[in-house]
Amino acid sequence: MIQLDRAEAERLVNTYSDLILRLSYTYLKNTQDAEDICQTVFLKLLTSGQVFDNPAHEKAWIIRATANACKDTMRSAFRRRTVALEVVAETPAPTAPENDVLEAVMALPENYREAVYLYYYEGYSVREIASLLGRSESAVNAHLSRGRQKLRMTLGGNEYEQSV
Amino acid sequence: MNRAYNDNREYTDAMDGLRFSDEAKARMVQNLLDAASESAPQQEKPHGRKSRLPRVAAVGVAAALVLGIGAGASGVFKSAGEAFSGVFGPTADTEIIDQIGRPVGASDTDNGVTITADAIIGDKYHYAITYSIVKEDGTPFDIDLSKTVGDGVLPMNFAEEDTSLSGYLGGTHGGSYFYDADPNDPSIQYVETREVSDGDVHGRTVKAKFSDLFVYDEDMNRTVIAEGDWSFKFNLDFEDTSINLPTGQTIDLNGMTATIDEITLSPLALRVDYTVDSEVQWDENAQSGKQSEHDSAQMEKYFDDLQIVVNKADGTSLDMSYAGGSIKPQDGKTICQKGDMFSEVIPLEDVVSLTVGGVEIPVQQ
Repeated sequence: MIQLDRAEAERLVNTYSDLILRLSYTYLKNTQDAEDICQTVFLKLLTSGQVFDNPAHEKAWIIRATANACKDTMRSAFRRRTVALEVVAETPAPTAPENDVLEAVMALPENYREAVYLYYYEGYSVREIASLLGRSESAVNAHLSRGRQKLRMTLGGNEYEQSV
Repeated sequence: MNRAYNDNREYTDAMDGLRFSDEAKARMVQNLLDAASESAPQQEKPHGRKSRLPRVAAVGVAAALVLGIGAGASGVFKSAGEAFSGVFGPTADTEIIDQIGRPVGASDTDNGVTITADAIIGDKYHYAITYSIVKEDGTPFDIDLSKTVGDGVLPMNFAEEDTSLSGYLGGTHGGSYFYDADPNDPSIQYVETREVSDGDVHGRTVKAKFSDLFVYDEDMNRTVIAEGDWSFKFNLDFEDTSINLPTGQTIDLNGMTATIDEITLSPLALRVDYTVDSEVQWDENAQSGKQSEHDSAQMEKYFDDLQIVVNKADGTSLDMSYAGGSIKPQDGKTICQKGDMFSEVIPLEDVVSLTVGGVEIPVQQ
């Protein structure tokens, strides 16, 4: 049995559930599975026996675990297609805001989206993102650079010659 | 007029607005408490060993054959005494054999591990460098080569790496990955791919620097398998390996006629140049900082909707339709260029055809 009191459960949910939601949305392009992914990540944390040096260390673990959980969800061939109406009524998923910039970011390939989210929203450096995702810094730089290029095209104004 | 993406306030504000309700959070807290009181310790799933070589590792072997790397092929296994150590040392020359650049003596050894630049392949705008990493005593690294992160790529990285081009002021970007070209020999391969934005990089000096090689598990925990610092220099020399495919085909693109002007294909990248028989019309009244719906639709019509697919001999295909490029109105027509680097080196003999706008174009070797 996992040892967990209400105070710790509230700390985890209040500190990380919105982060997990935003990261899940970044990967999955929907918010339907975010609560399940929160549950998965928190339980994994509680059963891992992991000891963290500091809050930043814990947050990095949460991000990695969320990324893995999202990728597992995407790989699954048995995603739930239908739900009972009463379940839908009780658990409406958060609604992603309508926003041109967000829409443009969400249209990017997955690798670019995750780099953009971690860099621009969470404020991680390229090196930190490389460490979080297990990629080389040059790969992260490439994803950010190409993501910016595509966003410039989508969000920019007229040019005689437009680059994408 | 272009919106500077450094102004990310809209994106961050939008993400700030994405949050769970207090109700949802309260529910999650209770669900977590219920699950904690009911759950047993998680069972580890056994990791099955794959019964066949993953596809990209097979490609990697083919790429290794193309590049001529691996045990015995290029004399990789030099003695420690022949290796450079410490600072970069003198710049190693690079011979060009069958279009492939082969650095001579470009390696460094530290703590019993040698990293060697084996081969360079490239085209007009891209290059890839393959390095091999091997222990001096000839024993394999203590890693499970069956645990790949997809497509045969090994979950490995350097704690620090830098392979800058001396004196080059243009932009470059690219990626890198580790794989095992030959499970029967003890070396691991590291591949870097780069796209250059302008200027010729031939003959420039690569200053390669690596530190601490590690593997990571599915929880992203790192284990250092080779602690050390490796530095060496070599000349970036290679011949353009791109081939030009038959052109002049016409394509129906959203009711317009597009003519393929040039297709440049190399093991690293694909680029399609085409001309559309009408001129793209940009919205002259568009507000600054935001592409209008009209312009967005024009972009889709002339560029985004052109499908480009690389068809491979193994039956798989690579969708390049999301690639970037440029689009320019000129004299009643629109000149377009669309393409991108591949995420892995693809030997051209593995490519049977391209499908551009529904038209299949054979790749003849």
